[in-house]
Amino acid sequence: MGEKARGFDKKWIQTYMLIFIVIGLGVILSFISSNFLTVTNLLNVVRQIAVNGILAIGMTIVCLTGGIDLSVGSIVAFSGIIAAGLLRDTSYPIIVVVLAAIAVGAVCGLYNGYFVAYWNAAPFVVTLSMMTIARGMTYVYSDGRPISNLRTEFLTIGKGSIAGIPIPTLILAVVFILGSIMLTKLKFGRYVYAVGGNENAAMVSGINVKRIKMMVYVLSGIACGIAAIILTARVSAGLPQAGESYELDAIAATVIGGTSLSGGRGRLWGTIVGAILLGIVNNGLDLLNVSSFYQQIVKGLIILGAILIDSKRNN
Amino acid sequence: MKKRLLSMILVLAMAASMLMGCTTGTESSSEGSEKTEEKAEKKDGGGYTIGCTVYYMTEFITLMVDGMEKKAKELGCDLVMLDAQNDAQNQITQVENLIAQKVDIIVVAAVDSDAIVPAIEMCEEANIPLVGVNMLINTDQPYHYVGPDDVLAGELEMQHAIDEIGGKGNVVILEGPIGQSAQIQRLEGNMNVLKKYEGKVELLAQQTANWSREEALSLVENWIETFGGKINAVVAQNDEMALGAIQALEAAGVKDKVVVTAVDAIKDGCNAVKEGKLLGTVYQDAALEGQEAVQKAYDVLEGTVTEKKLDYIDMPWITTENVDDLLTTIYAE
Amino acid sequence: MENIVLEARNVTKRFPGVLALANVNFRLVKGKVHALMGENGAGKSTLMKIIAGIYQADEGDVFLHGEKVVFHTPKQALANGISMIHQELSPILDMTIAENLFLGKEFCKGKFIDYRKMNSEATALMERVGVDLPPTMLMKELTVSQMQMIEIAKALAYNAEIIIMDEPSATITEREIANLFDIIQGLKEDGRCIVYITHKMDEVFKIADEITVFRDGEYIGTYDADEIDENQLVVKMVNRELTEIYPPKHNKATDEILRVENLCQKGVFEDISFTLRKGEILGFSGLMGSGRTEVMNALFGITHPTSGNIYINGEKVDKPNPRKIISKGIGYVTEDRKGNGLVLEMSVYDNTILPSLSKLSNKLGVVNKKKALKVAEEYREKLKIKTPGLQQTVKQLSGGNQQKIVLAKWLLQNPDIIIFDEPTRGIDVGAKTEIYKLVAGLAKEGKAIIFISSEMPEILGMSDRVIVFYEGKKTGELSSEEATQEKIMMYASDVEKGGV
Repeated sequence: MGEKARGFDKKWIQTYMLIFIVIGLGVILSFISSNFLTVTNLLNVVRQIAVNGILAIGMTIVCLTGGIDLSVGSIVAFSGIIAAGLLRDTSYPIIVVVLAAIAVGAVCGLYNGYFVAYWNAAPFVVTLSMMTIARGMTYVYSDGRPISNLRTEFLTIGKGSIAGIPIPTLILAVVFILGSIMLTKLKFGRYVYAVGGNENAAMVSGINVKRIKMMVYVLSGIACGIAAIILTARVSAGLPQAGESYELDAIAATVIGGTSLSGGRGRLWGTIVGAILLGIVNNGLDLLNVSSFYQQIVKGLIILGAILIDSKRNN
Repeated sequence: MKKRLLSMILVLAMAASMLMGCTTGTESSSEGSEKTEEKAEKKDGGGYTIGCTVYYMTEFITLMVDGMEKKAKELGCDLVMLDAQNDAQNQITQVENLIAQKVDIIVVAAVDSDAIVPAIEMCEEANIPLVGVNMLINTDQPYHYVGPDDVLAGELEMQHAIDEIGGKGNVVILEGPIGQSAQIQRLEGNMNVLKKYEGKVELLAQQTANWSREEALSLVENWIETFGGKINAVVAQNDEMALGAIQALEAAGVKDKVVVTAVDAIKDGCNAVKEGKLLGTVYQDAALEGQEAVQKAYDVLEGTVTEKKLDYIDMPWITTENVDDLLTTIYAE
Repeated sequence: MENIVLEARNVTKRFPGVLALANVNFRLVKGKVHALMGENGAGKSTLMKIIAGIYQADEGDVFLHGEKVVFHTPKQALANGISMIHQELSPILDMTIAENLFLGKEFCKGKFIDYRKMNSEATALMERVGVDLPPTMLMKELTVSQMQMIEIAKALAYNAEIIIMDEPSATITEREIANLFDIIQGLKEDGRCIVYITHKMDEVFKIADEITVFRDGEYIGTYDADEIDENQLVVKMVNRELTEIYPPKHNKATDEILRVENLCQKGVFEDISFTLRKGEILGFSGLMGSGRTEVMNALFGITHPTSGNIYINGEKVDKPNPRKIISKGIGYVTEDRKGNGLVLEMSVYDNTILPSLSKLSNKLGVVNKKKALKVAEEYREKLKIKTPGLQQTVKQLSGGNQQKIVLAKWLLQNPDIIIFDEPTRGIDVGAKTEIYKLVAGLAKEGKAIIFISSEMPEILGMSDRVIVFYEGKKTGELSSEEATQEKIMMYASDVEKGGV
């Protein structure tokens, strides 16, 4: 019995290891930089992780089915430029613009999902194609130029706060809660895990595997649309080059959070903690005036560490 | 399992709020006085902390940063240097982080002229002055700026190219990445001059080669294929692309008939000028630019500069006559 | 004194939440065939994996020729003359037979692979196990039983002193089994040691010299094959008397519920027609690859037949797919548990309720977890699934328990027709009888059952009616009274047509 309890404790520690690492890192940073543990800075961190956090949530859901979405960065740019364009050219209310951006993301996701699910094409390749298509369409729409002078109400989404909490953070929280409910409480979530764990078994169990596979990419596209709104509002312009290599940060947060890229295993809160970890590392190293060259090395080592912990957990 | 997770989160939230509570308490009560105190103290010591975020560590920016560091040392200031890695959002994040660090002034080489606008507001709110360097900021408000006049650079290279071909003929333009302010402004300069020669000088083609030698090489190869001997001048918006163009022209054996001009005067570019392959290039003195940016930041903090305005650095036209000066000083082995 | 080659003393191995081996002993004598028996989860495979370097013992020692050894990798064990043929095959499907046979020890000329030599050696090896296939054939073109024979040939290629065979006969045909026994006989005469793990009693007594029995991770004893009989052995294995293996037949078939007419799938099977009635167990017999499973896959909508009709309750089913078929009341306990029966990374609970999620959730798709847990627990008890808890991942459970979970997940759906494809494959005697009882009970309740098996006694013992397949065709249909082992064999092999 005692043995069993100890075994369980160990597992428990491994499961929540990531949280301990984040807390530990926070403690260390607050000792070496007096500017780290301040309200302003912590609010900065949670605001800064919003875009990557939201993209990573979409990415996690895709990865749970064993897929991957390389097009998120480009979809962010495309949704963002459309939103900026609508704000410039029309007088539609903000909500319409937001919904339009999300719809653009969803349509791009539908493209990914359709070809992955119904043509059995490799996700890597399909999303790679979407990556360049979305980027190209962004350039076409914007003529390669940034679209700026956006309405101030819109910019509030990027820099405003409600009850002291930045709006981007609140949006991230809502997306996270919805995502968690979807994955843990809805049958859709069980189907996602089942498809990623064993596609054949899922099919034999009467699950519409193709539809699930398509849906996860649509969800990822929707996440891109939401992230695009925040990004555009934060930099106060629609940028054709926005979001470049964001897919890699989203994958990094997903993997650090313990989601298996081969599918079937992972959890959303891990992804969020992963995004927080990356955010704190970025912020802390900026505060400590560490050169960005080293920052990238640190980031790489963290990803490696996460993988090593994960593979140990599995053995 | 669920319960455990929930309690974990609660504990975390509590711990976090406690920690935050502590710092807020002490901070909010003493924030005002602390800040003024700090400032006063620093003034006595003479040293300021200058926060800086640059778009990307290109060769040019590296030289500029060297100049900044040199000047900061001279003035007894600390320099916090961050690299936004060509990501506009990341740059906003870095400005936030610099404000959180309570630097005295922030110097920004913007990833994007539009996307940096929110930073001006943030700095205003935080009561920290901001100085733009190298990249203009797309705002109607006045702001401190030290940098190149890219419109002028664009005009210079186009004017010299047209003069060389005798005021009439056909030109092509190699552009930087579409949407970058250097590309937009240099193109504006190019076009300003072209307009004056309407009817006499024809623009055969304009395309981006993304500042890249390789891309320019294949692009110009294609143009030679398309236009044959019709091209009289290649106006490249930077040296790298000009060098690619020269390679393509040499390979096709038509280099003697085509004029190439550029902007930047990097070492390879200067060598090409010396060898007579590149007619000329506009020199942007990176180190000087960095030094002047830091000097301006210092002057703003000292109160000697109060008016917000754009300061352009000199941009000399480099040809065979003056290229040796550069090669023996800045680019000396 | 006998010549002891390998000995394991007081070996203990723990897995999360399970004591897989408790202080067990085992020894191997030169030139003998040693059968290892026990129910699923008794620890047979675990001990063999420790000996073959796949797992490491938590406690206890292994001695090879009197010297203490610890193998950390299968490669080390192999270098010391221990080779293991696994129950789960792991060939590289896109490589050729020869490449698979000599994986990791390719013949080379300098830096280049000597394909000519590799292929000729491969042919020679295959000859030894009686397989006649071109060595350049891709592994994925082989049937499961052919792959198994290649795996055996691979073990021979290592020229190992100790060859461990983990249920080698589970997937191969009668003829190949006979062939395998010849090979084992030859190896024995060579002075090799063979460990033979199986659940098939008749095989044990045919081939084994010694028998060691494990039960629930404990060592029960080692016996001479001549000194023990089947009944005694079963008692040792399951610790209870097996009065009757097969439950009595009821044979109260009522209305027709399923009718299949002229079902064809090009190149796979042709012209399959049969009917199924409520309360009836319809046996599908035939060799592996004779088309039984393929017909079921088509019926269930996993693959698409090229022509033919399916009627359920007299209603024609257009374009079947698994969802549609499930909604019409058919459940499918598949042959390949790991391939398409279970999601191994998921828990017992998740797997059990997977096909029933729609029924267990509201209109918004929110799962009623309380209810779901209740029914999952209900079926866990009903089927006596041995697991530390409902949240245990099924990966860590034994084959018999995994099979019960597959069964539970279909029973939860309350289907009218249940297809069982080799439901007892790789399962021990105790679990087998439980499954038989369950199946018979379901038929008694009025459910229609299709029961596919390669094991003749099982087909005869369970079926009310038998359909025999040979090379994608239905070659015979026999009532329970008509069916005998000989008749079925005749239909199921090339010698048919002469009979009846």
